[in-house]
Amino acid sequence: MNRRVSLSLRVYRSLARAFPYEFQNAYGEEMLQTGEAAIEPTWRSLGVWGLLRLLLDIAMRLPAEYASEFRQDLSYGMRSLSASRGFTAVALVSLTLGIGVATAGFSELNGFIGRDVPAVRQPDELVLVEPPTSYLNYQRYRDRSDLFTGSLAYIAPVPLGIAVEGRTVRTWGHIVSASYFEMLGIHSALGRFFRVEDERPGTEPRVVVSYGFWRNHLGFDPAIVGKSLRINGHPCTILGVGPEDFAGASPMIYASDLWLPLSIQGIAPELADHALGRHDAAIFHVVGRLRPGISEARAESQLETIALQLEQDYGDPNRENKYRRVTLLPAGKMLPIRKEDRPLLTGFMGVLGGMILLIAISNVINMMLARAGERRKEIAIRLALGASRPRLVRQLLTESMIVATAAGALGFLFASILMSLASREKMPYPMPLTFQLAPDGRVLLFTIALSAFTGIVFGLMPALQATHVDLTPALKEGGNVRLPRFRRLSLRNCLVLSEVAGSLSLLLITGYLVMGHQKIAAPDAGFETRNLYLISIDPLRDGYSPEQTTTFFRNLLDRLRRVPSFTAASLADSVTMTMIGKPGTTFYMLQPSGAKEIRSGRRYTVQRDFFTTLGIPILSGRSFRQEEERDDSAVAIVSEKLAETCWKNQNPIGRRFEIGDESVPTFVVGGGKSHQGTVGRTRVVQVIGVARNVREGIVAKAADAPGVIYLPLRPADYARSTFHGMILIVRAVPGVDAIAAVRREVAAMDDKVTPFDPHSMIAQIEETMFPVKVALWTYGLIGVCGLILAAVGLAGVTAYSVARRRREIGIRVALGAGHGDVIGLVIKEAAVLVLIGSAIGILLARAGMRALSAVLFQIAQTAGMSDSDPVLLVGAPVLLGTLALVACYIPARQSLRIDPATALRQE
Amino acid sequence: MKPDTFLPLKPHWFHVLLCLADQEQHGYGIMQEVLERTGGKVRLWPATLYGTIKRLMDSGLIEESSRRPAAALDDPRRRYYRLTSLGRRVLDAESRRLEDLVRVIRSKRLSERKALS
Repeated sequence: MNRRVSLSLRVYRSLARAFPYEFQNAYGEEMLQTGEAAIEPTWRSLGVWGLLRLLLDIAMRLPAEYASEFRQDLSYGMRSLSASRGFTAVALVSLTLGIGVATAGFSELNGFIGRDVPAVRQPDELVLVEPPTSYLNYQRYRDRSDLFTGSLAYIAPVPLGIAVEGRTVRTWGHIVSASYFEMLGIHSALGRFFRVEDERPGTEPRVVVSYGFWRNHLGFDPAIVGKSLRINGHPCTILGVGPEDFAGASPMIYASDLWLPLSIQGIAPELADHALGRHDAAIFHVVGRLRPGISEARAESQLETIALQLEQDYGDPNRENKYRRVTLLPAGKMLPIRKEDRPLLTGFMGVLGGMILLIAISNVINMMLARAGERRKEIAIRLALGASRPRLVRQLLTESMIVATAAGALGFLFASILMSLASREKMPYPMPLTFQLAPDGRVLLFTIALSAFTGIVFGLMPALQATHVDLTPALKEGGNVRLPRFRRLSLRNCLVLSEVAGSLSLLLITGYLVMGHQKIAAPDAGFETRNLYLISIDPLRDGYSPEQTTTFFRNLLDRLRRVPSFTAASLADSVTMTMIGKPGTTFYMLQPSGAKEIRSGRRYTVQRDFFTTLGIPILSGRSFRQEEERDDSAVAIVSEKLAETCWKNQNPIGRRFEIGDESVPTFVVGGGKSHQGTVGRTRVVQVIGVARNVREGIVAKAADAPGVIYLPLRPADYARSTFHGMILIVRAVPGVDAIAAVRREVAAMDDKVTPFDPHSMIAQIEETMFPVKVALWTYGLIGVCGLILAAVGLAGVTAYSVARRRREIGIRVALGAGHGDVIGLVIKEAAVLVLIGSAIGILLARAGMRALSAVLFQIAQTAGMSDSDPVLLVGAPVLLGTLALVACYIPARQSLRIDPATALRQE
Repeated sequence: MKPDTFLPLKPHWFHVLLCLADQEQHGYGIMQEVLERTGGKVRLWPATLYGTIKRLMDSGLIEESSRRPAAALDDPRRRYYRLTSLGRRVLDAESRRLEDLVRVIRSKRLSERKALS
């Protein structure tokens, strides 16, 4: 035989052997024989072309035959699923919940740490230098072109007052280096972006506006470039408009509407006091684009060296401290988080989502096993008729894949709706926090993979077990009735056990979290919160000079004291229970020996009536006096907590510490590591009084709050307004509309000054508790899903096992067993399983909480209080046990209604 | 099932049914006959042929025959197929459909020629 012919024949034979088993069974031999017979004549009449056609024909037929088999499986699967509606419904509900919750969790994670900053070119190359640094340091980093191909620096968040029709509209912006847009790779929608010449001092003020601002406030004016916008009372020329999807270099926590160049020093208080030329003004976020081939670790260590060198050169007060100066974070992600912190976030979500999914899957596996037992005969018949085992496994797998696919689609829908709602939720914060948590392509891929995985996992095991049949007894009438003895370690019992244990531990963990958070949410602030109102005023951004601002506030306080609606009024740069922008500070405690010890806490700059207005008693020493509200004042009041941590068992009055004149606001999301040194110019202050502790943020008791330093409000502080502006605090007479009254008084002094963000102290506490509420809802929802799953699963499994014992029950009833006996029999078995499962579940939950507490501080704080809560520890197992017993009782009762004769005949 | 539901018949199906119209045949025989009848224009390659046979069997248009030729001529690996009554009705219906079609084409040509002359 010709060599080509024999080679073709070999290929033909191996392709023919790859056909589906059933096809081969019926036609394989013949097809092989026909091919063998046809190959020689084909070669003779058509040559190589003929051989190729022959092989091509069989190669193309192969996938077609598999597809046709798959179509058959699909329609068979659909028929079989629609025949057992109860099973299909339970499986769909279970898996939809499981996949839905897991998808929602992944979608949330993806929204926070998976998504790239929109509109930016090659975001993976960007690194953020953490913590913020001075402009002088930035210039040294910028010069390292061996590390970076480009770099930028910006100040954010920068509140800006925009004059619109005589009123001031407050919005948020960045003060940016000229390289900002070019380095990020952004192209303008209109006009141009900054160039180096826009940065030179003395240049006329210029601004770039965001697309959103152009649309919402400038009416899409196509001729807007070159027009003027009044910012903080000064006219600025509009240079260009950003692209539609661009909201700045950090759009989630510092979304920006306006970008201003570094030359606007007289306009933004952020740049006052020669901030660009001071080493202690660490206010710039620096982003670099790593040169290809340069690792993050290398860049980090090089910058660290530079930072240390600069500290030495300028005699920085923190230069002797041992801590890491520079950490690089991925700046191209929505939320810059260190790589080593990622597993923490993903782990937490993974554990909760995974548990839900596990319960859902074991629910369905249980039912599949029960069902497979019922289908034993059908399968035996098909095996006896010549179906192969892999073919039957594939058939059963197709069924499970149909369910998993439908559940995946529904789960994705569920997650989409949930996450769109969550994204739309407006957070009650003064700063815009924009979240985009809705699923994207990556989440869809995740759901598809998860559904496929789920389908295979819950389909494969029962399919393998079901097709492992001993034909003879299975084919006999009633042959599948092995009286189900209580087999201690059967697969199904193990699954029921794991299901009870899993659901219970999930229920307990979420319960602990919910109860812990509820305790935190109790609004006991440590001072009287009723009739206390907070209103921000920021005259600097309304166009005032620092001197005018100081005078304005002093006059305002005098005026308010004379209004009978108020019993007290004061000012502060920030107040307790602030969620966004907590004023953290680091300071040095000075020992009489001259030694310095580093400490940290919160700092508030307050007007002298602050303590009487809030009702915080001074426990020892005294409050601030009017003559101490001067720029050279050197006094401070500390909280009990701070006094205790710094000078335990000693009198704190008269003690001294060194503190920087700037606080570094920390943000609830994306807060990097806090500064480990002072920020701003330092000065030495002496403690003159100790104030009672008040609650701060997410802690349960006032005594758990970090220590607080109160500093007197000086003229220099008026010149440096934070993003809160200056907060006016008033205690009103009950029943008075305090906010309207304040607005009236401010307008009477100058109607150009626009008060903003008015709210009551109670609302402020609610604001702080917002993340707690979100957490409560999330955990609660997961807990409820777990409970539904557990109930559905237990009910399904027991219903099947009772149904399978019909004959036994029939015999027992026929032999005279009472209803109580039969129900007792069914329930006893379930009760043993539920009891053992509960015990394992409680242990698992405790271990889980330990593990979570070890990695997440917040959980350690909240759950430490509730993990031995008797209500939960007894309540959850009782609830689950009752559900399980009801689930057993109903089918048991139903089976009693059946006439014993019928039950016996049926088998 | 009504024969009309199968119409128009796929060409391969039609050729196979046509081969079985007057005799029982095995797969290789069908292949040869189609090749000869169409003067080499239509070639049913083996995999396509058995794919078609499988679908015709599944649809109930053909069935396996138990009658076999004399032992000297028989190859035990071969299976013989024949039309079912449904298969015959489908073949008739398809033939009628094709005849009607041919008639329409002829009458069109006739009127075309008349119009030209």
